[in-house]
Amino acid sequence: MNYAPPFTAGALRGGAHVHGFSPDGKWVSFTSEDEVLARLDARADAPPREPNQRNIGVAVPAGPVLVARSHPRSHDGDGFSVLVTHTVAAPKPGSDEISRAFEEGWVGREGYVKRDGSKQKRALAFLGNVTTKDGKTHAEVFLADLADDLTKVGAAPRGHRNHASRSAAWGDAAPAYFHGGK
Amino acid sequence: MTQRRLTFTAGNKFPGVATSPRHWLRAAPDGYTYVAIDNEGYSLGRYFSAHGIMVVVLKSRLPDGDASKPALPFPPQDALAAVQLVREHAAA
Repeated sequence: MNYAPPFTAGALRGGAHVHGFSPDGKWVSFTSEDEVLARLDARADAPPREPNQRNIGVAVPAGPVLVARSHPRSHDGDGFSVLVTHTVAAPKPGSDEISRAFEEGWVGREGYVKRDGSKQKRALAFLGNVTTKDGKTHAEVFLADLADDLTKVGAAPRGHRNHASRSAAWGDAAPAYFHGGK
Repeated sequence: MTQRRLTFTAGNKFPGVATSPRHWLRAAPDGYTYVAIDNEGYSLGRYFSAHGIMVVVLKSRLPDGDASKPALPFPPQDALAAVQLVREHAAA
């Protein structure tokens, strides 16, 4: 767990809930919320809101992950944790974008076979909140195919781009806040 | 990592999860030895019906009393038949 910079690949920045073992018992899926983003959102002088979004994460046996003791509650982990879903603050109406990912479950005992005959070793089915053309929110079923090696850097979460721009907006205040200052 | 959508509820194209309570088919749990339909069937049905959820209570056959015969398939047969019955009579 890594509540303050320097942030570490493989370490979560907030709570994880509803853990589920993969069928082979080696990987663990969970839902996760980013405490750092949530605290930034909660500030009275926060820039245009980018709500903390619930995502689905996976812990793989590729640890340990060692983190700096830059926060009283930061601690090392045995597993390497990574988020495997993409969310956005405000999904485009009628699109496949989602604002929240939740209620996941492992697919198959050994994944599943795709239409082209190739095998997907690990996959998670989950619910994602989409926005309809008339602006309503409801859940649809999604599927996330997981890479065999989740410790390699993949595509950044979509929110990451916004986070970078917001860090610029925060200026010097951001690192001070991250370290527990005002 | 890829993420793709499987269901499209709008217009009933490929409906996904329900956004409101649907029918609940309640099989009275019996441990395959007896039917406990009063406490765990009808009473639950009355409770949830009072809260707007339609409950269909299934009184299924028990397995063959001959212990030397397999426990299946009577109970799951009845459960599947009940699911089919409920679906056939469900409003669109």
